[in-house]
Amino acid sequence: MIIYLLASAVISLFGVVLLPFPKIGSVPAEVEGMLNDILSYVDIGFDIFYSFCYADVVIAMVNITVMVIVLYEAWRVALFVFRKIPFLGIN
Amino acid sequence: MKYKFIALFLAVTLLFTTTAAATGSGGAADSNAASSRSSPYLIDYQSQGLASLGAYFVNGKPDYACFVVNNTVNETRPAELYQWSSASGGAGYVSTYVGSSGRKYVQYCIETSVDDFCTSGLLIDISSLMGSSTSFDVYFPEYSDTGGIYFDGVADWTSAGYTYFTTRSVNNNSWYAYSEILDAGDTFNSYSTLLDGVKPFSCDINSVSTVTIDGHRFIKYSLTLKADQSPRQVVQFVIAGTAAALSDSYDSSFFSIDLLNNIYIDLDSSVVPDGEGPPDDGTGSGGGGESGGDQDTTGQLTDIKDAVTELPNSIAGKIADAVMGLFVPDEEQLESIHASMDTFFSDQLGAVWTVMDFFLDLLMYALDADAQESIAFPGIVLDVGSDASFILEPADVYIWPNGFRQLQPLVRSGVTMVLILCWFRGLMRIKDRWLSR
Repeated sequence: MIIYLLASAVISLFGVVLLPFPKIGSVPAEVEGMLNDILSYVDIGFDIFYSFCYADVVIAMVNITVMVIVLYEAWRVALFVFRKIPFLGIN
Repeated sequence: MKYKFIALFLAVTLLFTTTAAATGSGGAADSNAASSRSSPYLIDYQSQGLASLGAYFVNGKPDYACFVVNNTVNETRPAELYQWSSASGGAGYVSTYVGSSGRKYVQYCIETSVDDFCTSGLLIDISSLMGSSTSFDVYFPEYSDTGGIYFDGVADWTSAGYTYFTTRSVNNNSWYAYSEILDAGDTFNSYSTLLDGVKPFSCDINSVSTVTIDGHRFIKYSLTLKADQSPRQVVQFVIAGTAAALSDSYDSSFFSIDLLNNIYIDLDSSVVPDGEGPPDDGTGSGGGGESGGDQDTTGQLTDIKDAVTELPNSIAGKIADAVMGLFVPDEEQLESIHASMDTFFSDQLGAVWTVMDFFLDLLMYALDADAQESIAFPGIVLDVGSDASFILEPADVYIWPNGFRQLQPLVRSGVTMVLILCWFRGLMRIKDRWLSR
């Protein structure tokens, strides 16, 4: 719930911040189709890959890795903000 | 000396005669049953009071199914043949109505070139048996890695909707809902979501054993179905699995059900006929009226002990669930986040968002994928003008062929171990980067 609320707030914030900037053009439909094809092949690839290892373990490792990276980046953002506050004295 | 041989011969003859009399209750039907029991493919439907027998395939891929009706057990030329085939593998139904034809034995077989998990099921209408408890045996080839037993209640044979009541796997393989292993002493219980008119029922696994029939090894499950479906409802017994994994073990026939055991009235108690009871699990001392009471007490104590043993795990699990629920978003919330991002960024960021979305999808596939036994090969098409023909036909390619299946746990363990080591090393690098700042 906490992560969900934070993520929703950040997304809304980014949406507002990006509004004044010019829009970036989208990729052609052919490229999107190609990316979708690649994703479907990747999906099959994962199925094959998970047949040679224990999928539960690998998925747990991916989850932990993502969580650690997210925490790491969140910590960096927090540190960046804290450094802007003079009386905290964080260098 | 001569008289001793004669006496020995008479004694052996008497012994065999006594044994035969003890195993059967006499009569022509029993002698037929005894002889047909040597083959698990034969169903002596008449002695079971079956007027008809059907097999219904639910979105399955079997190419061919048939019932062979024979006059004798070992008849090589079928007296009657009821068959159904489907090249593409759709739903289908084949049945026999031979109750009054004077035939004695029904053999069913299924042949298939490609198959999929959980999509093919042989449904046998045993509704005529459902007024009482029924004891029967099910045979699966020993090396079939998939297969399940469950019960299914439908409105009629052609009903598309059906409910899985009980599911178990045959071997140690997770297969959709078939995550539990059949073992002696297990009991199936029907799910709470029963179809209208279908009453709850249960099924006991009396014993699990390995038998060799015609040189092929099978796992034999002796089941007792306890159900009081009165008035009669259409409840089907289903055995399902993959054909490809089994076809190497036994040609053409991969499921067998032996309905030759006795049918007996056993609705509310654990009374079983003489000699047909579940195997002794070693806890009881056997015999006597007090034995049942002792076993009940032992069972209750075992339940209490199991509950107490599981208590710390359940408490820890509740706390972990609460903490996880507080922080980690569930699937709906993740989808909501993704939808919000798509709304906000796709229009504004265009190509950049497409790339970001690609990697998000990549992550999603990594987390959602699961081990597959087979991969759907789409085939290779030679497209010349308006004519298109397959160079290679679409097919399900099995990742682990039967010959290598025994190596699967070893390879999986080894690869997983290497991945864990690499992952740990990667995490240490992240930690070093983190702490170095």
